[in-house]
Amino acid sequence: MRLLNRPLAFILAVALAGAGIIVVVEVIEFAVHSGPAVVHWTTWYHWASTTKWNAQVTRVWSAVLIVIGILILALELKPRRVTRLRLRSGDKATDAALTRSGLAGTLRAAATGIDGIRGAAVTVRRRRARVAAQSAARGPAADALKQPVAQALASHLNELNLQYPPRLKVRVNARRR
Amino acid sequence: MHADRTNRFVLTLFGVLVLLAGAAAMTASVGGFGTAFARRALFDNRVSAYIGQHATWVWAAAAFICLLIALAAVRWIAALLISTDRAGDITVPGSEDQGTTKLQPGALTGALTREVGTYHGVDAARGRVIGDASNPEIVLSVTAAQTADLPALHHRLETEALAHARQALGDPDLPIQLDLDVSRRHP
Repeated sequence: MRLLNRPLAFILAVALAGAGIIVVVEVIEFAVHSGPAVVHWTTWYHWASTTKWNAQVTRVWSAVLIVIGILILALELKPRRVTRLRLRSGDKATDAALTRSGLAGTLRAAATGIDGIRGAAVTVRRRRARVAAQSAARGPAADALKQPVAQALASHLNELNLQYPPRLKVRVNARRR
Repeated sequence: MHADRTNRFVLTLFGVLVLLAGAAAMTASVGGFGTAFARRALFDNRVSAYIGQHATWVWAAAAFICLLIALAAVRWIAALLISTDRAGDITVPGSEDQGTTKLQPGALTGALTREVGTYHGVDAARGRVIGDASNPEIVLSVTAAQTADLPALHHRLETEALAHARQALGDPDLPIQLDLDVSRRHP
């Protein structure tokens, strides 16, 4: 998001600076010589003096403005992706957090550290962490692993001391072949 | 970059203005302000008439406002391109009779990351000092090994490394942002 905002901000800043300077130049030029200097605004003036509000071109440009406005607002007001999950800290001046990928990594390591689990895919979101563990066993033996894995991961998550721990959802997939 | 908040605020404001302008124009176009108004030319309204009657001062004022906007935009461009949120040399508090002690942010973060790097379970550590030199903030990013005991490491970082940094700057309330990550590398 921030990476997209920077070029957008740069384009807008350059456009504002350019437009502001052009208006100043045109106002001075009109006061001195009564004519356009940089931009041939008299054509636009004539167009706006003859084009009616209910003209098709007005509607098209209005729709374009509405779409641009909605796109920019959607981009800016969209909730930021959670990148850090705050940890409880003993000091008010310390803002400690575990990164989202860090939490995924430690849950993955905790899952694969359990006997019978040979791999795990972890997805962490703002309020939920999903762990899909891959069992080394097949059939009922894999099902029997679900509870101990869920308990171990819940305990691990609890020990991390996160301020707002995400809800944990654990699935154990049986080995296929 | 500390222009991020400005970027978001100005882009949001711009989005609102563009949306309002488009919505108002569309409303006028479909007859929301009356069918008679919809049949008028774009400049055939009270505001345009007022500007036409008071062109001299209105355009002078518009030029002045545009100049201010242009100057603000140039400053914004400079902030986007060349400014940094990193702090300059920090003055360590002490008796001024014995001179002033200046601490380079790099020296502080170097000492901090070297200390953290020796902790059990730490793969890597990076630090930077941001904000104003008179009111600095440390940002410390620590990457732990997958097998590391994160709660123990967190506790040790807070009670030792961060406490040492605060002690070095003589500020027990020095704000510190600590980001703990876990290495992707298998042990």
